[in-house]
Amino acid sequence: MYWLVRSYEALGYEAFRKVSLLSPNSARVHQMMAKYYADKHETSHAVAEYEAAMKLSPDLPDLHLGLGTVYWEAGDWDRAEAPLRRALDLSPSLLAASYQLGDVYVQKREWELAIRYLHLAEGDQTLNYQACLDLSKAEAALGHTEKAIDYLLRLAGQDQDGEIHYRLALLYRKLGDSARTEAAFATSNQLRQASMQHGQEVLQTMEKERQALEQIDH
Amino acid sequence: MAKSKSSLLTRREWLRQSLSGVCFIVPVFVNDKLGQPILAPGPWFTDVAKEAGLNAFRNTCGTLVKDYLVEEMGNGVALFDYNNDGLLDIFLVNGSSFELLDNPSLPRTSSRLFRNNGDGTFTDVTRQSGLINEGWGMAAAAADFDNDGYTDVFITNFGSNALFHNNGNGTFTNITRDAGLEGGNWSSGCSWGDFDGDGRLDLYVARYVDFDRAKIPDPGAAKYCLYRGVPVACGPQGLVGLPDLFYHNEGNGKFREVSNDVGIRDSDRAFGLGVAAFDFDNDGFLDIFVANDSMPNFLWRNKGNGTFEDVAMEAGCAVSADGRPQSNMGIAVGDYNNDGWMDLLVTHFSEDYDALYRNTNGQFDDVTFEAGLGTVTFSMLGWGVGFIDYDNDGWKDIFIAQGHIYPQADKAGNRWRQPDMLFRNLRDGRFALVDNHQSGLLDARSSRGAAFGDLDNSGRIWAIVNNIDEQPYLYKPGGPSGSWVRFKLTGTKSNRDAIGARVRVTAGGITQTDQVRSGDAYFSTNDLRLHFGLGQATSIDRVEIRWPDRQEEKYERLAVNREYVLRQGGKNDKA
Repeated sequence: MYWLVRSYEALGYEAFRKVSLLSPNSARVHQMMAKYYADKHETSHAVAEYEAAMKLSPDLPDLHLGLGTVYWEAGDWDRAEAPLRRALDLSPSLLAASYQLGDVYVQKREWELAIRYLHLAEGDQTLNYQACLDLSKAEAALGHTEKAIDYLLRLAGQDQDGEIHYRLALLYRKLGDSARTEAAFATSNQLRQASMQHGQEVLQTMEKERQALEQIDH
Repeated sequence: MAKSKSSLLTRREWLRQSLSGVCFIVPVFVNDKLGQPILAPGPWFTDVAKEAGLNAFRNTCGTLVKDYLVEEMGNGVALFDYNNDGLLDIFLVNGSSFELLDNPSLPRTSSRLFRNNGDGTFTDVTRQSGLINEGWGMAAAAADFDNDGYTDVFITNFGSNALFHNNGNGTFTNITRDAGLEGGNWSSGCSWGDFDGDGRLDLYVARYVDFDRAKIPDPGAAKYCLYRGVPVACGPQGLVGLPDLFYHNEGNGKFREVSNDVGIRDSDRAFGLGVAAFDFDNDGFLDIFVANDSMPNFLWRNKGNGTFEDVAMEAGCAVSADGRPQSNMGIAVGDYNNDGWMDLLVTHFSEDYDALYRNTNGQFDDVTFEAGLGTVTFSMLGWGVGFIDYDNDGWKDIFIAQGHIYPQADKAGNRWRQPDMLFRNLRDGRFALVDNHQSGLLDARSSRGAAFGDLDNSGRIWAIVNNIDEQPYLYKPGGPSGSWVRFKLTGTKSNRDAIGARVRVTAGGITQTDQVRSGDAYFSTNDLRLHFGLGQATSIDRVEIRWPDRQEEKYERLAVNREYVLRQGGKNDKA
């Protein structure tokens, strides 16, 4: 495992070094630097690198998506909005931008706009879960409790720790449906217990692996 | 305390949850019917710890690097009048270090009792009082457990807990062993209350982690030993918790651990931290809320016969609105919207928000973002917390003591030292952050426990904050103030401190509610006297008291700006 990590590290470093040597001031190098800073939560540096990249290649949609993502992850919704919109203008099929923009509007409590963009992302398999959660929140905020429940029911089978059923219970209670409220709370509690049990088992396994690795090192 | 909550979530998830609100910042206040000052001149608080003589205390909590969780959790503070001179004294809980635990010959650290001299200064009377807790202290809950008229102190420790009986002559005696309250391993928050209505105070003790230093991985050695990729002390996730303890007061200076008998079954061994006893459903019986780190909270509903059931999940205060357990630590209890139901504010880890649970008819709703508290508390790590009416306008504001748990936070895009925060109640369900220059909370340290009370009997609320590895803050209140009233309740049939008594005050067109509590916030005890700001009201229309034994009394047409000493079933006196 150790040598695997070292190998990937070395390969990555070498590739980055080559790109930097070939074209030290290219948009792609700035983009890679931006990603590096974003991963380290160094937002201001990441933004500076994305902006430098966009000066060189203003029409690369993933640069705008990257910048929007940096702001989105920092919770700066106002700044996130423009680059995400621009990314979608340049490439309407960028569903990640659709989801993030929809999410931005959820945070800003602009529910109708949120629903519009989240619907676009809903079809994407990797974004569906998050999009449906947001759509449920937006519909619930608009008073469309049944619709909000429908979105959560789509995710109910994927509920691993009881969170979906907890949200369902709150919505059922809003409808005054005490039987379904009680059932959803019960399922939520069961799933939470099972998740905690599983978490403990994973931890124990990890601890055993850690000890085994220590022995190998010795 | 855990980095867990963020680690349990996707990055999108925590960002979405944490930032879905609006932050209100209101630097200038306007006049209105309730007597708000035209301008908020600030500062509302000034740190006078040095002038008051409190800088003699410097908190100790392990090494500065903090390789172990126990070194990071900090300590509480208790405000109580130990010598019955009418002035609140200050008890600062202190930690220790493994170096000291391993070397009994080294000089001990101790928690410190400071006597209020009545002139703005305090004198360290720890030695002469005998209130010497040399264990690794966590929390302090002060109450007169034997109804003899003198306030006693229970201290939780990493190690054996300690009960100090007040001898009534300015000294204390450690009676832990005889009382049967030693506990064990790592106890955390604690709270007194008469839960079975026998007139004697019982005790709830939360416990955190089954901590064995020899078995704790090194920082960075496991998944739960990293914060944003930086190695930090491990836990609590990845470690094993301990069940909480419930002690029944047998009435002869002895306590009996009856957790299972009364239905307090902490079978998940949750990582318990803050504890607060209050009546959430207004049925007249004292319930218990426990803030569990990284796990769902407990709300032990008192069934009315001294037995309990956990209803936190159904009551809506176990997890966030999205069904996610948070790293729950400190608890504020108070009726911030003056609807007659006690609400909750629970402090959390950084990269998550402090949750405001609004109570309506015994049902809680997470209204953090609607209240404007989501975004602004997101990057901060909160501990001690209180609903306090700092300007006496009749609406409870919020004070939060803050500081990161990891000294390594400075290398991970956050800050170990964080300024405390003050929020003004906008009276419409929302709060506004008061700018630090106006609040006067200017300094940045790594704060933990905080307690609130009127230290000079001036009708204003002070705040004292225990800062890890540093001197405490003593925040003296200032700025314009509305009128006020304070009640010191003395039970006769009920427990003498009247813990659990509910008071409703109607004045100036609003009715405020509060309840006497011992053991609150984060590891701390606030002034047991109940204080109400009254805005421009010049008299009080009505005061309704429901004593812990559910007996009700009513007073009408009282004057403002004074303290009333009210005896159950007896004549009331003005202090």
